[in-house]
Amino acid sequence: MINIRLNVNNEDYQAEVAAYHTLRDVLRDKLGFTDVKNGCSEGECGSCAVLVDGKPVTSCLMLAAQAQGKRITTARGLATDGKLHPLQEKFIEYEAVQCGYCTPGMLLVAKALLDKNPNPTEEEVRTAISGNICRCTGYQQIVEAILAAAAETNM
Amino acid sequence: MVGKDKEKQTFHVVGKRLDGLDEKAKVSGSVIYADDFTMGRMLYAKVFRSTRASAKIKSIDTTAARSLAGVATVITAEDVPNNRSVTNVVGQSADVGLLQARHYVLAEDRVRFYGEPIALVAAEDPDIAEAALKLIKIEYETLPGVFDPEEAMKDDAPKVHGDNNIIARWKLRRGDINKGFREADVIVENTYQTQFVEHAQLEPESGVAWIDDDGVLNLRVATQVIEQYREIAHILGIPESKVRIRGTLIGGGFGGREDLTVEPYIALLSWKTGRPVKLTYEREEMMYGRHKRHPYKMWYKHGATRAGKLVAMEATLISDSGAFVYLSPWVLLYSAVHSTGPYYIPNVKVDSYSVLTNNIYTSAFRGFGVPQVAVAHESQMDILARELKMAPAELRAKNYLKTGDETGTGQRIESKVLLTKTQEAAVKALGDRSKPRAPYIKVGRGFASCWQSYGRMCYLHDTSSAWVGMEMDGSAVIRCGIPDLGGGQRESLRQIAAELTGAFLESVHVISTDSQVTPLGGTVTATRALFMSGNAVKLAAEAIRHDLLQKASEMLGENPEDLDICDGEVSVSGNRKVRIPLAQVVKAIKSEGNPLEVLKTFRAPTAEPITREIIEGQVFPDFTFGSQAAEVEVNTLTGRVNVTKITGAYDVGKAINPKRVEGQIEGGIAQGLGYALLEEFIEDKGIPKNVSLTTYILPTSKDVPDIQSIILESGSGKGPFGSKGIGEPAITATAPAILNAIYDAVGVRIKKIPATPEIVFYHLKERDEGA
Amino acid sequence: MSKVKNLFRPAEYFKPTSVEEAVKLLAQYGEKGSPIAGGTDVLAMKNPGTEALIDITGLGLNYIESDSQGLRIGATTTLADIEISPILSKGPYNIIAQAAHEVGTPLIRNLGTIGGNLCNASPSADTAPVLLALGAKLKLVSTGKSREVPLDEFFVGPFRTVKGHDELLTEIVLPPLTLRTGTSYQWLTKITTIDETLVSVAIMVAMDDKGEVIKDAKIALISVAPTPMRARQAEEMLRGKEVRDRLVEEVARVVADETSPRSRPDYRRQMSAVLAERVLKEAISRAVSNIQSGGVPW
Repeated sequence: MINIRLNVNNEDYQAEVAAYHTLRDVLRDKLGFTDVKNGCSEGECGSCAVLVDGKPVTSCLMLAAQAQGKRITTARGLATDGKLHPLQEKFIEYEAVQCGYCTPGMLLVAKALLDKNPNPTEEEVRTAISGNICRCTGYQQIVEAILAAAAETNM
Repeated sequence: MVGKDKEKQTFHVVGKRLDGLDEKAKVSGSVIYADDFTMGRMLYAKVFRSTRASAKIKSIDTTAARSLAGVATVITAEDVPNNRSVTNVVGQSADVGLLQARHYVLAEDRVRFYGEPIALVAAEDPDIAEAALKLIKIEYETLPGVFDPEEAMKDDAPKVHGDNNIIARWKLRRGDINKGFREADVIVENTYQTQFVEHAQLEPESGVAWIDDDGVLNLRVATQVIEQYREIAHILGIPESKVRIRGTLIGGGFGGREDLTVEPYIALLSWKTGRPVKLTYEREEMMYGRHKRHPYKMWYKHGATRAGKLVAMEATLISDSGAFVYLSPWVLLYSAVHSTGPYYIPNVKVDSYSVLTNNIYTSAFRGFGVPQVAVAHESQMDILARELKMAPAELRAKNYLKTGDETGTGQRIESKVLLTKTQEAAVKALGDRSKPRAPYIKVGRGFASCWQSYGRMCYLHDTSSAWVGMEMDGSAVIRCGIPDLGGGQRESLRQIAAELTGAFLESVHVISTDSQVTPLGGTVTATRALFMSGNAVKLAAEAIRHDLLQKASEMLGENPEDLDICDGEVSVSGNRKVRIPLAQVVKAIKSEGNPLEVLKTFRAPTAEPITREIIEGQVFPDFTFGSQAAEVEVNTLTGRVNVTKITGAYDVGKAINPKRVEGQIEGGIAQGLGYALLEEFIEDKGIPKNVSLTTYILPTSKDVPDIQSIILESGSGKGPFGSKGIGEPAITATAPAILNAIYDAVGVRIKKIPATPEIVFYHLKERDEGA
Repeated sequence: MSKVKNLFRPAEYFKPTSVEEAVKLLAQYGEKGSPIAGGTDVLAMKNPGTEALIDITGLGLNYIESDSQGLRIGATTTLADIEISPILSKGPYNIIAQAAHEVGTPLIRNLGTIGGNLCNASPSADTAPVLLALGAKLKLVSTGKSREVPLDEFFVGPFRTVKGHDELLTEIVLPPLTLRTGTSYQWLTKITTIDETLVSVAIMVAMDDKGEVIKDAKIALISVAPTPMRARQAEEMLRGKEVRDRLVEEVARVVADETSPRSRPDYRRQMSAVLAERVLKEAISRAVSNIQSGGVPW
């Protein structure tokens, strides 16, 4: 077993992981971050997406041991002091959430996009979230919510 | 809400684009979905499944699996008290073979499809359970199998169950079909085919079962039907009162969680071991272990006069029921009834069959047999229009059902029909035609109109119950069994209750989906949730409103008709100076011994049981009508079809929350796009070929274009405030709209979906060679 | 945790800090050891024979360097970094960035590496055709030894390469390009926008100083043969030729004939020809005009 130290949502954690555990295993099963979802195990659906040092990755395809010393952000880490992130607010306002299963991953990918590119075009938004499957919304309102969040932050 | 006259009612909450309360939990990542839940001493289950499509089980030895350290138990069919599920498709025609839908919890001496469950394992951790699966020794003897429904209909075909593979037949008979075709100036005849489709909900099937302190078996599970506690009780041979299903907020339903999934397995394992048991399917297991949408083969023949009136329609439909019956007879019934499309046709002859094969079993999927026939009838109408040298819109307009018309079963259309308006709105919303981006890219446009019932079949005497109670401080509680799939089923109930009781929307709390705590609301299927539970909540909330207005009128000295309740206050309509806090009124009522709690049951329109193969009379409470329009680019070098714009216009009667209606239309369109162009679950002699999301292709954000949804409100629905359902109608028209657009672009008629680039490419070649 | 047969359950994890240390571990574990960088292939394939994971992300092998000697890409450079690299944003090497963009999804590209993509050796390895077209060589290091293998000798079969279990791919080396080089790359998926590759074609054309005669051409494809392949007969048809009217069409047909696709063979062959024609036209035009800007989306 390997002992790893990682920071999740601005708090330090320690975990014992096997060589083959994935980052998702650690976050979901060991540290209780069930907002990191289990949709598949081949990086195809994006519902397990988390930010590792600000970059969105499919946590089901990243080795837990490689999270050593990294800063991880999950959906639960988006709100600050109980106040929702603008993306979270826009997702609610624009009804970008139906069943909610893709939502945590989708929000994080959107955040990473806006952090890097504060004024994306619709095309850029669609490309950024192309690794996150949504079966409920048809993506329309998700795209609108992300563009609205970008517009608001840039005002 | 003010105004008695329905036409002039103004609403405070209903009809507004309000934020849902469940969404806050969803964006915060705090919802506990089925697999997110754990209990102490919990065991992990896995299912041992058949790797043959048709075989005898010669022997099965679970000794090694049982003795593996960490394995708590292994269950096979002989350990199941009632292995043959009680599901009987009520109302099944007496003339048809196989009255009983024989579902086996676990395979007995024979397996009938690849993936059929044979044994269950529960172990201390998932790894051990997986290891135990691999220790189960099984010997198969291959039996002849049948994999095509038409083959399976033959007398000498291998029989999947009993002595007849045809497990359902339905007919429509109206007028005189021969006379009809004699009157026709133009006759169009074609064959259409659709594929197996996977629901691909993002959340895998999952649930946890445990026995509580009272000895009640609890199942916390993602399901669309909590009433299945009865099935579970029967399977275990225990009283129904000893099984409790607590439904979770679900990560997508689409009909995929309408039948039993993990419930019998976790129930059996928990009951046997006395410990909590969790089962979560792997994505691969989702693909080959669960039911799919019925593939259909459809022969259609239409006759029309030169003037463009439809005079005759004949069709034969054959659906692949797969290895077990499940809901195939009902799906077929829906197909038969809707097969005419939303048109008035005086002479109709439809024959339909659902047939067992050794393919994966098929059952409910959004649309329930209607998206299939829509591909056929809307392609037919498009072809017919071109034969008649008439605009497709004009041909539709001449034949759309109108209020008062009778359908192919003789059901009288009671609601308003805004089909022409939906067609015009959908096409208009496409805007200007896109210019082709290169000489080898052709742009085309098409539309399709559809109808889809909402509410279950009338002969089922459907009901839905809900309880609404006021708290002392003017907040409210709703108890309703209805599961929430993410379509905002709970949110609509909140809005309705807030509207009628005047409680603040945020203060209305919904307790849902618990079979022993909440009044049973019925299934979330058949686009019935708003219609049934919405009406049940409305009845209960109206009763409370009545009491509130009575008491308030006494307290204010005003007539009840002049009062309105909104945002925690009762006041005179138009004069808020005369007002009293809602809480005060509630307290006054309760102090007089009226608890201000109401349980109501809403009853849907009923009809006599269907006993003949010919379906006649009122089958469904009502229908939702709508149209979709699509613009496509076809790359003539590669056959690739790209949808550039797509729109959907629906008459939903009254939109309780327009945002949610739009969300349903958009989500349905995206699934319809996948149905038309991308998705096919493939089996070769019953062996699944694509069991991963890399090979079963779902639409991504780059495949789905901007979608425009248009809401029309005729107010003539049977749901609360004149609303109609939208969940399933949203998917029905998409595929034919896209197929018609492809024809407009390149003059090829695709009659078998999905229209993948390869398929379109070869159609184009054929067209060029024929030219 | 029990040791379970037939499940991916390596017991050991190492993170060497030098290439020497890494190749020592590779030699020690042989085929029971697996180098792991991003993990997107290793963790998806889940090889039950793997007993040790050797993390190679700590060896400083993620870099992109360009000078008069050519281009060098470290094996553990992520596909996302390659996609956005300023060095690869312009010029003939831009097709490398384009090909990297086609791998998986944006999430996978933040983890997956170019070395992983090549060593996984799928017949559809997306970065392979562009590197083949550019004449790439791979640097393979083992204890005390190091060799350079041309990429077109690297793949021996589906998911099989000449790389020994004791060797580590450290670097991809591309020769410097002559003045009048044009490259192009096009890609078709099977069905959707983010999907498995149906066929992709990458072509490099080098012209003489006047831009009239083709001096060299390399044509590479994936998903149409057991390994990423070069269309050598087609290349031969171009060498020393002047650009004339029907040349491109004829060459494209020969490209298609050289393929040997296993599934959907007719459609793949036809699409190979369609793509080859477009890609060749564009590569020639870029070489002739000596202006290479970013590619136009298909």
